[in-house]
Amino acid sequence: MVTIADTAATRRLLDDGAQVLEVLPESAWREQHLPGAISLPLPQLRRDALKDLDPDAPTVVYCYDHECDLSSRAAALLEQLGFSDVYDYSVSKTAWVGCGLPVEGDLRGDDRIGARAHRPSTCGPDATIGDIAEDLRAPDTSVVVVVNDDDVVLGAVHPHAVGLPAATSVLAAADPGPATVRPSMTRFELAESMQKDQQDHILVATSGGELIGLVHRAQLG
Amino acid sequence: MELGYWLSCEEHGPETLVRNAVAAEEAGFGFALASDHLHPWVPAQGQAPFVWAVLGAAAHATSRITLGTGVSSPIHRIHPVLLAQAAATVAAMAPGRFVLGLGEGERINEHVTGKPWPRPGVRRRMIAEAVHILRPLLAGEDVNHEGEFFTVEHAQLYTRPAARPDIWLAVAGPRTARLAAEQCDGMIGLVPQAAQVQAFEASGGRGKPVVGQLHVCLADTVADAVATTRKWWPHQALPGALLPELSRPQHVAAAVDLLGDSDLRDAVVCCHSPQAVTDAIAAFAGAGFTHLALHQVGPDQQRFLDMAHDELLPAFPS
Repeated sequence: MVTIADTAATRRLLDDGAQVLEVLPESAWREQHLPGAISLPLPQLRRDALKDLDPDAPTVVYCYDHECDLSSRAAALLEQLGFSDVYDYSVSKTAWVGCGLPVEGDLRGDDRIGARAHRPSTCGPDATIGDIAEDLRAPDTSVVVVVNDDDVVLGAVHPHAVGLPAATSVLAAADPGPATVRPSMTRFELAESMQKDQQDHILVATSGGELIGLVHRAQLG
Repeated sequence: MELGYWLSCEEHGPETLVRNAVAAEEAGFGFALASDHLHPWVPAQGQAPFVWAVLGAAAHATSRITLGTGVSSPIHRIHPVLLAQAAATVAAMAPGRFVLGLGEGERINEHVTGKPWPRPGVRRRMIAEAVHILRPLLAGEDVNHEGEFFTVEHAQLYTRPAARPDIWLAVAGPRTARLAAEQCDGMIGLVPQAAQVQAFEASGGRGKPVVGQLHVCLADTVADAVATTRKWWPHQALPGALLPELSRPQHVAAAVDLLGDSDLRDAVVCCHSPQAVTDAIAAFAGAGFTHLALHQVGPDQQRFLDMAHDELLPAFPS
């Protein structure tokens, strides 16, 4: 039977020692893969390629992202080939790295922007401009980020907002849609896009919207 | 946040505009920007005076408030040299309190000379070239220029203020944000988007004015405000990509017939109390704007000026 597994379930399966197959081309696996994952590109997924695997053990397959069908097809094929406990991590590697979870591979860790982000000043949605005035006035503040109890980004407040009446709600003053990028993006990709869009800083968040940090273009060099 | 007042040349005749500039100064506004149109947006607005005559009279009638255009477009209707002369003359009448607002213009005003309406990328290059001409002229230099769009032969302004007036540029994306930061003295943005402000600041604009425009209709009830907006300022709810491309007020009127009341309420703060205006001002400040020009839609300007004097200006000291 094939079970769809989300990121949390996949983490538990990995912790419990499930066998993990990445069915993308090997070059993608070499660059980065989930911890302990084996490379088995879908075009090579024949019975003889599976001989070192235990068909009765929990087996997780994943590919690129939720739009990619390789993991779903690989999971169905594994089931046909006698694997009894197959999990399709359908949102796949994009979601995993997008959550800032550990990966293995050739790409250097500090080339990922997640490793370069620092924690900016934050406040809750019930704060007022008066509550964050000190942070807004600090000379190195680019933005104060409004987050909820789960650290999900609700908005960002520019230092100019310090001129607003102290009782103004931060939510009224916040840009509700500040741009964010995933921690898995490389510093090279981000530097190029920030150059194009003339961005000085950008928030780093998980694919669930949880704040990881803030990164300045000068830190990408 | 410095609050300013919008002199809506599409809705008011020249004498009313001058009286409104005086009333805005008395109410305590720090600046007032006037639209520069040949036609109104829709026929019902009924006005489109020559902005430079209005600003000259307003300069004479006021003494403290900063005046400016929001915005003038050296595309087809006016050559950059004549625009510089007009700006320098008003700036000489209002020394230290005039700013030239520039933008890429709209077909509704620019098509009248019969020249083709350029696509946005061409208009952007035209504005960049015009800024290149305007800056030295406004500084009193003898200018010669042979460019892609404009030729200038030995032009020099003899009437001008002691200091070159500032130029603010309307920003539509990262490229105009860079031009505003590198060649101008401030940016004008129409929506409280932090991305445009960040692009402006990252290109060297940090510390320069970031000026927004907020459309408000204060009335007895929200329903009255929506009705007033439908008559006087409905085009604000049209898609931003469409408005610069329509060539006659009748075309805009035909397009706005398709809009519902909720579209109007999304585009204009329709309200009966200051709270909605205060929230909208906060959104601009939070996005990084330093200045915000408030436009009261419709004929009832005094109601808005009184509210601004009593509630808004004390709450947002500049």
